[in-house]
Amino acid sequence: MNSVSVKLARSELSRGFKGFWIYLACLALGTAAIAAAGSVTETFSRGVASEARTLLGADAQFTTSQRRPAAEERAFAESLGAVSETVSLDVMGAAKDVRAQVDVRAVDGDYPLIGDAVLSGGETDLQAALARRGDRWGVVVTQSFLDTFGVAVGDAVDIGPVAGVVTARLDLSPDRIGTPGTFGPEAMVALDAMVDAERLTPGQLFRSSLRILFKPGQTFAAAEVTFNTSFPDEGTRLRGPEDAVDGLQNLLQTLNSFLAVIGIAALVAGGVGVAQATAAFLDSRRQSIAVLKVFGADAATIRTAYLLQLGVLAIVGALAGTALGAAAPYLLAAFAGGAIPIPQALALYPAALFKALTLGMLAAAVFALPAIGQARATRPASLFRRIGDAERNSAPWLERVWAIGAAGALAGLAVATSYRPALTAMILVGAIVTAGVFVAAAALVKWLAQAASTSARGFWRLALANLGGPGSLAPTIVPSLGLGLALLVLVVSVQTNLIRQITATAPANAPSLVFSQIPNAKVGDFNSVLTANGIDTENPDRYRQAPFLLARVTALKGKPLVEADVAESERWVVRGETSVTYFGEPPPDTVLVAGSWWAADYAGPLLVSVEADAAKGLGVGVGDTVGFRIAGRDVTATVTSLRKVDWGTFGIGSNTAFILSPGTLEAANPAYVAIAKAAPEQESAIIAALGTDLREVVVFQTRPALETAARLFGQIALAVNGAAGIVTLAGLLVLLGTFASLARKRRREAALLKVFGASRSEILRLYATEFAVAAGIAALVGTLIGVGASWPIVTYVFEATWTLPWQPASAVILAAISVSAIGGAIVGVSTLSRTPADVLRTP
Amino acid sequence: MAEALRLTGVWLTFQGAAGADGAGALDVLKGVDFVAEAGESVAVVGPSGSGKSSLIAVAAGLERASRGEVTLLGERIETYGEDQLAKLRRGRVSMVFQSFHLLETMTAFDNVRAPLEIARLDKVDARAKAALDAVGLSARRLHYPGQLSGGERQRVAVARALASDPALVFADEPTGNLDAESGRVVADLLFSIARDRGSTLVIVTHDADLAARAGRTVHMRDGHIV
Repeated sequence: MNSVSVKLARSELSRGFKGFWIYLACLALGTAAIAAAGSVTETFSRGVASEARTLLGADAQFTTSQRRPAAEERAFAESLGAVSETVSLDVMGAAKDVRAQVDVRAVDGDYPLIGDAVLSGGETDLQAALARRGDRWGVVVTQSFLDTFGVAVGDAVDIGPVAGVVTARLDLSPDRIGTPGTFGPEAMVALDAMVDAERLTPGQLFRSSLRILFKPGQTFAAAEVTFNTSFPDEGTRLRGPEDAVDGLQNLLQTLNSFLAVIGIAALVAGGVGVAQATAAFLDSRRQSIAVLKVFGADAATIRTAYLLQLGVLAIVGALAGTALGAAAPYLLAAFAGGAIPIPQALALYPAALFKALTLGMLAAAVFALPAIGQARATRPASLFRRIGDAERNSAPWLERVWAIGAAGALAGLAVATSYRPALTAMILVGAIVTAGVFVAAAALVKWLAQAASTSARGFWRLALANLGGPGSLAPTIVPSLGLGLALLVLVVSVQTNLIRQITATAPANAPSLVFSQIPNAKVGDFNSVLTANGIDTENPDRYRQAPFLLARVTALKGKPLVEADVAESERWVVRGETSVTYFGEPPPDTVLVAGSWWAADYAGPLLVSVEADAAKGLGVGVGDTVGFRIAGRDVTATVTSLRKVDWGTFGIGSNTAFILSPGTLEAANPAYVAIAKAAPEQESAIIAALGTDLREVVVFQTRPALETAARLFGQIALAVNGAAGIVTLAGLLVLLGTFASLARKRRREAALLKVFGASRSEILRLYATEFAVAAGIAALVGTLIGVGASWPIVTYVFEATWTLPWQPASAVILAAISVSAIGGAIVGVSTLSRTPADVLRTP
Repeated sequence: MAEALRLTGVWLTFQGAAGADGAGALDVLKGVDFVAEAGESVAVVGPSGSGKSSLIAVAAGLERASRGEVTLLGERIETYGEDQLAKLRRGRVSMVFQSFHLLETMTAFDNVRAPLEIARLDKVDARAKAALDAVGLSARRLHYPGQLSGGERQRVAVARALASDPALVFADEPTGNLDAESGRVVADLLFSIARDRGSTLVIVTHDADLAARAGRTVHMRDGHIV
């Protein structure tokens, strides 16, 4: 590095950041997005990890379904340390005239093993709050419970078979932090209350968890080995704190990958601004560069001088972005920390910040190097004559190779540090292809404008000639704005379709009432209650019922199940328990894709019809066997058919992964589940009638749940829109940079037009039109790409119905055209700020 | 006396919009022969568009001759690359432009120093100071070009051109943008310093008085020396 390079760099930098604000802002924005994504997810991830024991509520836990732990299981647990039992179940709650489903946890006297429950409004000690008071048990409930039933502390409530009284509001259960919650009413009662009411007898629907707080010296690994040896056939496993937060960590990692890609997209969109600002700056330095070359400066001297300058500026921009990103978790905690039910470990996370800084610097290199190459290749002869575009348009190969290398490093770093490398790589490839489409679209716009300008006349000829000429806006505006708008339209389009699914399509297809725990012996009585309340139980479009059992898949093709061999997408079938049913005749809408259905009166060895995707994930086909543990018994079924299931339709039993043949499971006397479509007034009447005759039936109303889901989704969508908006903001920054640089370039042109008689309004109209056409085409192509990309996401990822979101799409196009037209007019006003004589006098 | 510069049968052709088939091509120099001996001063005069500036651009290695031979300070440069030419010019070939072309972000002193540093010469500060003294601008050495008058800027350009004691100085209309008095001062400085330092001076000008001060004058018309 020679002193001329340093001196030149230093002397130019000493003039400040004038002309570099867009360069700095574009880099800072993308870097900030990446740093914020990393810092925020790390804050939550570390928070969750540090609270893992609290979230599990113990050092270890195992769960049994439809039965309480056996004596030997409890003895095993007690040999490891202190033990507490918690039972989860759904029951119907009743208070005053209201009946609704309640999510209940029945806890023993040792709950919680870790942390404390936070109560308010009455009792403050949990065990005191749950104690029996005369003929009623103490109950603590959530605010949602109080709202649903219209009760207050001190009021009597029925929690399924338990007569209770509300003794306090439950504000926080230590083991519920970070769980999504049920959206509905929740209550906590004493375990003894449910035992006394005989609600926890084997075969009823509930889940019991034994939680263990290890005695000193006990390790999870050792406990797990003993558990697996002692209970090899139970189909359950000992879970540790890590398992408790697995799902949440998984979600956080996906969120991190998504946000990081958004940040990179912002860097790419903003990169156009970096390239534009670099080119504009170096263009203004061409004369200096040529002079230095005349006096013997070689290419390396020039390159080093400008690499130093732009490198320092890139560090400033990327550091500013990194600092903003580092502050993001603190800002989030300050403004919304209380509303986020996830533990937060606020700190500076150097790895996440360094990654953002490096990606920012690499993006600067990708977009600035070609312009530096062009500049250092400036021919000294340019001091004697104007060098045409054709002679200076291409960057020398060396800087191109460096830029490509930097792009490769950027993509490599992004993929290598992602929690979802394949997803990140796929999105990056998509972004590159999209950027390529926009570059091609820009070239097409330029070519079309050039071609059209020859036949146009007057005002349009000027606008089109500008758009098709050497200083055209198209190569700058179309890719940067288009990329941002494509992403925005994609997000808005997916969101519009999903909200429509939740608010319109789902209510049309979904049942309004879901019934569970209908006693096997009372199915006839249950149907009578529904018929008496106007439900046609013979109409499969309005009502369906099915026997319901929980089953655990234990073997595939005769070999014990190995979860890792099952496709990730289908592990839900084998993870824990899955619901199964049995039918003689195929349920309505059954579509077989392989094999055949059994006879309606079949009574032989157990057969099974498997949902086609699940079968593929499990690796089974017609003729293979699947082993189940159902109600404590191991059974093996032979696959006779594969079914295609449309999960969005009205159905029950038909939309389970496994339908078994009749003749075997009836012996278990399973409870039934049912679904019905009912008008709101019918719903109330049915719930009331069941409260008299069939109190054990749990009724779930879907309407409020769908409304809650729609509201929650709306909030999430807003956050996702905000993230996607960052890319659009980068595009707008580039647009702003274009306005600023063109205002300078067009000053002479505007002065000449005025000299030749153009009015102010004509000049404003000229620039507004030129900008609006370029932005309009960027928006149109961006919208087409965004809307097009939303189709497979809505159809295949969310398995929802896709419709053209023409309203938001039109709004995006119109907004882009309007903003750009206004910007063009502002450029016009700026060019007219000096008199023609003044402008033309300046060399 | 040794030759500082020799052009033999030099053509300079710019391809026009019609492309490489020759249609629309413009011949700016048409077989020019030109010699400048070491230490002499030569004025190149002629009407606008006759090829005067192109002649010195080719001679200084800033444009590549389309045909013919160019020998600069004893080296044949037709096949030289840009960086080779830059190295050849370092400290030995200088230039003064009609539009000054000072580095706007540097002070007058740094403008004069820059070519000396590029040439990696010793006593850079002393040489730059002496050059500015010679053109009477010591007091303005820390001023930026934007703070100087046109005449002062060109005097800085002269100081910059001559600070390294170059063997060959090209001047392209050095007084073209100056008023008569400033032009006279700049011309005096250019000729006297070049003479004192033994530099060859090739000066392109429209100004008959300026041309008359050169030891020899060549006339150009339509790409030929006549």
